[in-house]
Amino acid sequence: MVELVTNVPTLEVLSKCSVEPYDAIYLGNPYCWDYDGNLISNFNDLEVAIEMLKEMGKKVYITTFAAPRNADLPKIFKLIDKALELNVDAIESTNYGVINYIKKEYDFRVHAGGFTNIYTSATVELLENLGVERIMPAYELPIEDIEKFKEYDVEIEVVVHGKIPLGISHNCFLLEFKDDVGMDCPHICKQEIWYKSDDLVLKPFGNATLSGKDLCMYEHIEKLNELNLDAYRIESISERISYREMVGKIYRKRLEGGFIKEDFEKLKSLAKYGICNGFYFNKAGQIYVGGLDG
Amino acid sequence: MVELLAPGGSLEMVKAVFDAGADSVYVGVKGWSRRASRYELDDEQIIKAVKIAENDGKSVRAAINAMPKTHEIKMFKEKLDFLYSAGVDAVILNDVGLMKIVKDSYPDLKIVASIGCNILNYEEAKFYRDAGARMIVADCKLSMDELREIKEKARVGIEVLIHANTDFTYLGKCWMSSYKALRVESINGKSYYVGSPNRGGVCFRPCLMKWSLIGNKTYAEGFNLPNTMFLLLDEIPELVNFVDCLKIQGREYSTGLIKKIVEFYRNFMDACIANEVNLDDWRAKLHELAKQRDAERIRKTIELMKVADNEIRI
Repeated sequence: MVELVTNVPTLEVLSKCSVEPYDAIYLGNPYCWDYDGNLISNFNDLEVAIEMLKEMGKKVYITTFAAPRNADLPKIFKLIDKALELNVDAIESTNYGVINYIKKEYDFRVHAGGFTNIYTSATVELLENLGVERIMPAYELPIEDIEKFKEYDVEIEVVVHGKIPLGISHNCFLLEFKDDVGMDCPHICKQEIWYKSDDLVLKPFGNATLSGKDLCMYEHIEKLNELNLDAYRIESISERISYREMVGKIYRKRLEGGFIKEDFEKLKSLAKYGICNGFYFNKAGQIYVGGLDG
Repeated sequence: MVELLAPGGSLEMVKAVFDAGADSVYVGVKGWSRRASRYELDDEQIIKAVKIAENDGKSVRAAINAMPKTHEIKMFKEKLDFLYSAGVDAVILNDVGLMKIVKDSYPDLKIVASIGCNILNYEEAKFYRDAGARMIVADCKLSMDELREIKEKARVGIEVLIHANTDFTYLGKCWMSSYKALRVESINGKSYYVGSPNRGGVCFRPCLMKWSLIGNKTYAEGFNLPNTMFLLLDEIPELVNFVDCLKIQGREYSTGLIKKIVEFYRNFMDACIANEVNLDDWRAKLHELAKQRDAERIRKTIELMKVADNEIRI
């Protein structure tokens, strides 16, 4: 059975929502060290969160900062040490330097995340040889390209729902508007705030920019199932607390049962700026291709 | 001696930048680089570019840094065979798996890790070095201290952009353009994703659209997401002491403008080495060049935005 995973940025969020529908949880927000309560920066909270999840019988993965510069590396190395001490199940990184460091220094289980830019089978083969256990193919890849990666002995995780990352920067541009919004770090990014230009809507979140629309593969899950992938991710890092639980329940039912029109309508209602398929069908990421529901 | 690398968006530009004092030129392989195909060279033109370079005692790098589909890796290898036999000095690559293929096939062919690799720290630089890269292109956002530390710890060649654009996001880790609009075409059997620079097509520059910040109300409007001209000058006297290559981007600009920019930097680097620099004079000259360059970029940006709008209507 495919693993259903999501991400939880803080202990507060973990305490207030049910993660029951999920098999595994990525802890921490990879887009900003200063995010209020970020589990990658607060080791006491991290310890409690891991304990909670283990009691629930969930697998625990720790994420790491997505775009580390030299000065970030010592902090990441400390986080890795802590993660190993707390006996987590895997560490996620999107930086080849960090991935290589974890494999060479600790030979610990690594998941290469979506910003790792894994576009080709040549790179999948290289990561397989390095011992990387799981990859997320580049978000820009269509299903036909992801399918080719199954030839290698590496687990594959893809996003099935939520706002996909579209870019990452060296700083938080949203802070340029702190006077306009009347709010500063670390509160401003927790508001419902969007960049909008004509047809295009984006969601700023820390150093990352996310899609304004929710990627939704609810109608098309069989197409992904045919690939026999290893994990489906619901991207909920920037969402309000209830979103994670509601979407998780709907996809759990979808995986164990079938298409339920009311659930699909619910997913659409949760997406303020609509749904899309990302790049799975070789179209612009913000386009939605109708499926079972016409 | 630090190398001055210039763009070759056409054979005419290749000749012009060598005349202007560039040590080497980079050209895009048709259908395989991070720019529009009209600024790339076909096989015959690449052979001619190498001959032009050899006549001047200079060299050619081939940018083959678009991400191919899995079934296109065979085409990549064929293209690599061609580039090697044509006598290019180096290949510029974006994908670490493809670097391994080049390293195994042609160990003497120099590999440059493209700006699209977005190498941000010394551990990553070591990883690319071990994968075969002899030189890495540094992101424009890295500081002088960071560059020094990478050089010291990774012991790999460093190429620094001195004329480019800094983007809203880290270059190579952005798909805002293809999220907005995308068309899949083919060039000689190789897929060509118009709207995705990572996959070999143009960027529609969504950063430069007019944006609003909205929530419960409109907080701000009419702003761009940062995408600004990047021209180094004051830093160059220090950079020439420890980096290996200074690169001028701009295959898509007019040959006349690029020739002027290359001449400017050639003369400035020579003056730095001779220790004859009055920075105020050079800043004034660069300011004039920057105005010309911005005017050209604005025209290109408007063209690209129109293309993107048409894609959406289709």
